[in-house]
Amino acid sequence: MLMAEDHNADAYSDDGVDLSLIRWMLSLTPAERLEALQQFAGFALSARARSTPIPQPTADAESSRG
Amino acid sequence: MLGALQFRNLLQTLNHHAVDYIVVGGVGAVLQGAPVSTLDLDIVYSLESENLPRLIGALEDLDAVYRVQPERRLQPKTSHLAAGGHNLLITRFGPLDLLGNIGNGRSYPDLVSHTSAMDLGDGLTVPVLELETLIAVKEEVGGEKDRAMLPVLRRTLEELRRR
Repeated sequence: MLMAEDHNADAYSDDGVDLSLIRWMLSLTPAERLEALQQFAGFALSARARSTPIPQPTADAESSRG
Repeated sequence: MLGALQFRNLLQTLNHHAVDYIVVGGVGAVLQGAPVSTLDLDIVYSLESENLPRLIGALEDLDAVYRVQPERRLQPKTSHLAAGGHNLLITRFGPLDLLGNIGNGRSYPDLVSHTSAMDLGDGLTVPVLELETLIAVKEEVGGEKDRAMLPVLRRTLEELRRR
C-alpha cells in the first residue's frame, strides 16, 4: 500500500527546533541573513506603529451578555 | 525616539570610526544562520584607552543617548564606557547595546580570539563572536531569554558542523 509522503520528515529536532528553518538560513549568505533580520524587524516595528488598540468591552456590554 | 532600525548602518558607522568591537547576541546568531529575531544590536567593545575616543566618535555620529529616560538625552561619556558595564542606547539607526563584558565577565580580550570576520557585502566586514562561544556565554548567563534561545543555537551549530 502506498503511504502518503511525509514532507515534514526530519523537519524538527527532538527538542522541537525547526531544522528546516535553520537549513534555509544556512543556505543564505551572511548579507542575506542580515537582510532577512532587517526585513523582519522593519515589519515588526511598522506593524506595531500602525496598530490601534482593540476596543475593550464596556461594563454595560459585559453585563448584557447572557 | 525610536530611529529607523538599520543594523547595516550601525555596523558601518562603527567600522568607519575604526572601533574595536565584536558582534554578539541575536544579530551575531543570525549572521551565523540561527533563525532568531532581535530588535537591537549587541556589541562587546574594547576598553583600551585608544578605542574609547573612537567609540565616542561613532556614538556622536549615531546621536546615541541612553534608552532609559530618552527624553533627557543623556549621552554616554568616556567615563561611562571605561567602567565596562552595559550601556543600553538608542541611536538614529535603532537600539545599540554596548557591553563591556558578557557571561561570566568575558571582555573583549577574552573573546577576540573566538571571533570570525563576516563579509556582509558592499565592503562591510564585521567581527562576530563564534556560535560555539555565544552558546557558552548564554549558558553562563542562564537568564530566561538566553535559555529560550539555546536550543535553536545548539541545533544551528550542529547543522553547521554537518556541512
